[in-house]
Order: sequence, then structure tokens, then C-alpha cells
Amino acid sequence: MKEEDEILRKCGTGNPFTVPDGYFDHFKENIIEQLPEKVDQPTVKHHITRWSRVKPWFYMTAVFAGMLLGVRLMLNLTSGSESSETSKHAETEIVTDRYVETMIDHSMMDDYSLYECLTEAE
Amino acid sequence: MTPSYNEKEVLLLLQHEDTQKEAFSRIVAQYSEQLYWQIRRMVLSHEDANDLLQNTFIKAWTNIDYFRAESKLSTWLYRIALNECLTFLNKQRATSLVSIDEPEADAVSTLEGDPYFSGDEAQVLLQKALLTLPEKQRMVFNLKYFQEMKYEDMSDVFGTSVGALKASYHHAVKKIESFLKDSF
Repeated sequence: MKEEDEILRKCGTGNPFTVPDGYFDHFKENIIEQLPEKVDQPTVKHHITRWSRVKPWFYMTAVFAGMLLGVRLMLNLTSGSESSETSKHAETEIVTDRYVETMIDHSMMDDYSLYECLTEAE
Repeated sequence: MTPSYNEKEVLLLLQHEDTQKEAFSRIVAQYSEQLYWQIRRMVLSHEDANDLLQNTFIKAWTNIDYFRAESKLSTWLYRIALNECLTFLNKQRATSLVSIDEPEADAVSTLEGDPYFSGDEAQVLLQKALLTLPEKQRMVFNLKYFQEMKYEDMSDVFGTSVGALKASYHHAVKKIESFLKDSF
């Protein structure tokens, strides 16, 4: 790099800093003396009860049971609504126009009394 | 006579409580000088550099059990030292009444009166130029320019990508060169 060469030419890489005499020789001894003693951290023993061991499995089973129940309920609801749909369909198929006409004939109803009957029903 | 430094051996000694201190004293002997110069280039004063170097080794000692040898020991120590420097410089900036326009002016005047600084005019100018850089960029420049540290090793120290470090160094060089051009 051109700029780097220029800095090297002008300033070099010399170290302009100095230290007191014997600084590095004494540093090691000084720092080793200063090191704090290591204190063993007391380990806290937790008593594990049977319930705390079983708890996660219990919760997991409960979640799965809940999910199964939910799925089953949903399936039931869907099939229930499907069957009611089919039954409605069946009812409309049973009551055909010809059947209605026959029934009217048998009941000896004329158009006026039929109209009257229908308006009363409303 | 000091035994020659062997990182694998030192790491093994560190694992046992009765040899841990011996291993640590070998680490101090091996790395104190290079860490000192790196810290000194950041904080400039010998007293501050000495305090920060001591803090670095005390922190390393208290956390040595957490060192898992996933990175090099030197990388881990550099990381601690540079974090110490950043914390110190942030505190210094917050407490001192340094000029906003020329933050380097105060530091350079202190440097010129420092009995442990023997630089010529060009080196004073270089220090002045370095002080205009953001702290992390200054660290990157110092590690590359003076210590010729590899970008890959620097990437472990800073937790930054090699590309970002190269860009940071490139910008630092451009800024310093431009500062020197205006000053000479």
C-alpha cells in the first residue's frame, strides 16, 4: 500500500516508549505475589424428589392427552355436522312435489283454503 | 534458568491445582512484554499501562478455569488487555476535561513531558495522528503496523471479520498518511 510505505518512510516502526530499568524482570514476581488465592466455590446440592423427576413426564403426558382429546372432539363435531347435513338432504328428497300434490288432493283442499292455511301459518 | 515456553505443556499444568500457579508464572513471563507494549501504545503513560497490565493478568488468573483452549492463550490475553484499555479510555474520556475539537492535544503534551518517551518529532506526529483515530481502529493499526499480527489472529481477538479488519486498517493508514502530509 502506497500510504503505508509513506508512513514507514516518515516515521518507521521504532518504539519511542521506554520503561524504568528492570521493569519486566520485576513484573513477574510482583504479579505472582499479587494473585488472589482461589477460593473453592461451595457446591449447592439440590435434593431431587420423585415428583420433580416425574413432573416433566407428567406434564408432557397431560399435553398429549389434551391434544388427543381435542382432535377427537373436533373429529366428532365434524362428523356430527356432516350427518345432520345428510339428514336434511334426505328429508327434502322424501317430500317431493308429486307427494305434496297428492296430499293436497287427499285433504280436499282448494286453492283458497290452501292460501288461507298458509297465511295463517305465517 | 527459566524453562522454555511450551503452550501445550503450560495448558496441561493449568489443569491441576498444584501446578496452576507455576503454569501461570510461565504465561506472565511469556506474554507480559508484548501485552505491555500493546497497552502502552493505547494509553501512552507508563503508570497507566502498568496498572492495566496487572489488571489483565489478575483477570486472567481469576478466570483461568473458564479458558477452554478453543482459541490461543495469547488471543485470550489480548482480548482481556484490549477490553481493559477500552474501559480505561472510556472512563478517562468521561472524567477528564479534554477538548472536543482536539482530543489528541492534551495527550500529546503529556507525552512530550513523559520521562519514558524518547521519540523524535516524527514519532510525536505519528502519535498525534494515531490519537485522531477511533480507539478500536487505533488498536487494529497498532497490532498490524507495529506487531505485524495476522488478520486471522486479530479476527479472534476482536470477534470481527478479516474483511472488516482489513478495511479498518486501510482507513487508518489513509487518515494517518493524510495527517502526516498536512503536518510535514
